[in-house]
Amino acid sequence: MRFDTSMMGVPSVTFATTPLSARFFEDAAKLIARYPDGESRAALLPLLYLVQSEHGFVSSQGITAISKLLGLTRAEIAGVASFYTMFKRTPQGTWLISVCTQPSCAFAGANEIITKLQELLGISCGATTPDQMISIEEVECLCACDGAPVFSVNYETYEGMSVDDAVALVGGLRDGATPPAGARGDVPADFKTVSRRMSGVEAPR
Amino acid sequence: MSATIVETKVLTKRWDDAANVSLGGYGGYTALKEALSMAPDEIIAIVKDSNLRGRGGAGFPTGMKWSFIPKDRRPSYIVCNFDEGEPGTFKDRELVERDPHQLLEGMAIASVAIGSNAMYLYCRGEFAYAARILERAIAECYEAGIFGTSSMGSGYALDCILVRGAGAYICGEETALLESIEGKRGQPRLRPPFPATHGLFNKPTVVNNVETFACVPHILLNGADWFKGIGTEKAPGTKLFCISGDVERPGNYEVPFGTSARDLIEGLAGGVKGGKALKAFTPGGASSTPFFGPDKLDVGMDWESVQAAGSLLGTGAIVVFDETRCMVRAAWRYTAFYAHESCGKCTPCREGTYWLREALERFEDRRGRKEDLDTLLDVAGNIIGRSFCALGDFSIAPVTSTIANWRKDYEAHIGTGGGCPIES
Repeated sequence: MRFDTSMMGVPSVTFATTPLSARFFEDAAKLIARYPDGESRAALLPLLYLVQSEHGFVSSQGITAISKLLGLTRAEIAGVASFYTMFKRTPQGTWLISVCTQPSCAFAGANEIITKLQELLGISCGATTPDQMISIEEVECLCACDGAPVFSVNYETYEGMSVDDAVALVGGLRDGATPPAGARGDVPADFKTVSRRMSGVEAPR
Repeated sequence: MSATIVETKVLTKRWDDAANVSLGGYGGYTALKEALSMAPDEIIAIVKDSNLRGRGGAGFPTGMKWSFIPKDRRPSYIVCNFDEGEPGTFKDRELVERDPHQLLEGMAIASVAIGSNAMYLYCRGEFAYAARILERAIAECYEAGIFGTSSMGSGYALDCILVRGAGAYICGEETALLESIEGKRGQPRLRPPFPATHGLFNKPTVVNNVETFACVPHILLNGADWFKGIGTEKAPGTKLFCISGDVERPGNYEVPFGTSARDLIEGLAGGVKGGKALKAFTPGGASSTPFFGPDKLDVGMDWESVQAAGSLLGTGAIVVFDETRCMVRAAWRYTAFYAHESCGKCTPCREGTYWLREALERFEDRRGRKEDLDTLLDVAGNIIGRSFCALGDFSIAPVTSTIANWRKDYEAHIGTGGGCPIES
């Protein structure tokens, strides 16, 4: 096994990735052009989202591509990527479930949701099911405390659900169901599609 | 108990009208139109006169902040801090989701006032829905000629760039936020120099919170005197309070500054859930402000009164704990939050929050030792005043205030194991 130091914390595992698409490089050019001359580094966070839209995580290949595009070292990029929790070091499932456990949500059953999800999926927080369907994580306040308990599916929030309903929703996703609409009325897309949206490339600015 | 209290809706008055989210429903950007016809100094003078103060936590006078921008250095930037993440806070998200144009108009007016042509709106990464609302609202403004090379036909160029965070609470600190926009780790900068002279891309920059910008169009349309007629002398205007936890009606409530915590919790939020007694509440930002007990319910909610009573107004997040809640668990959760969100730049915060969490975990499992209480206070004393930024200083509040006011809860956790004796 090759020793891959692209991201601290995942030192000895290399994940196979497909080559970055032509669309990735077109999108990247668009994002870089959005910032003032000489400030192309400002496109780094958007580009990391763009890598996740291709590989489902910040891949070693993606880091190399960005380093060429922005003229930064691989270490500089990994240093930024490992700072932010939304940049993932391992391939994420189709559905990323993020459960808030801060007090207002804890009062409303958040810890029970976490415990039951871990039982249901047979994985612990921070992990992904072997079939790459579901990733779960415990997160800090999602700022919808009046709707506690709050969790999100690919960053689309669900509020005020009973523990049983929340677990049933995730069970459905694991079995291939489409997610229901979230608290704001929208249905989340898969992780890679959402990541592309988060790069901002689909918006005019 | 004052059940008759009603909200004073200024920033939230259009919330119930869903059409308002679109430009057509919002109206004509009349305040911006007025601003474009005014001299920049005139705008700053009105905002100064209104005594509008920053809603992000510190309460710094907004007009004064704007006046610090040097007139001879261009470009300059307006940056909106929409990195809401303080546990218990959810006002900025709703302000954006329900009335995005109110924010964009406030930012645009600020741009005209400081002579900036570019606005950067930093949206918390997790707020996917709010980001979509903003994308649409910004696109509408470009289509309608409000943004672009000539704002509303005035010849004044206005650009608005939406930037997404990626999950780091520290980016709510303004210099960390600027680092993040520049594509770096979100770690605070040494000040001085301040953002007013060396901000985004090293250029003069104003950073304001969402709620602050949202006040600006109203001040311009209704005048400084109208604004000063609401709230207290030192804290004019309204404030959104986010009430959650053990209350009957959690939610955002907009009231004049100085409204008592009792009117908010027992009046608007319907009191403690299930008729239980109140044990504690956070006056303004769940994790960063010292907890109050029921004896502080009559404190007026403005910067001066809350500080005089021994806490901070912060972001205005009120989390209510009923009589069955364990304050050790509360302190542990908030401390775990800080240990996770410490950016790692300075040792007191990075190491201090880690050891606080370790010690609190022992209490949480009822394995606390009497001397651990002193250890906790000692570690806390070595964080405050020695941290690089406010995150470290604020991180000790849940620990020190719960030890001071609910020491009995800690003493009940001294033992050799068995878990929390207060909450199952």
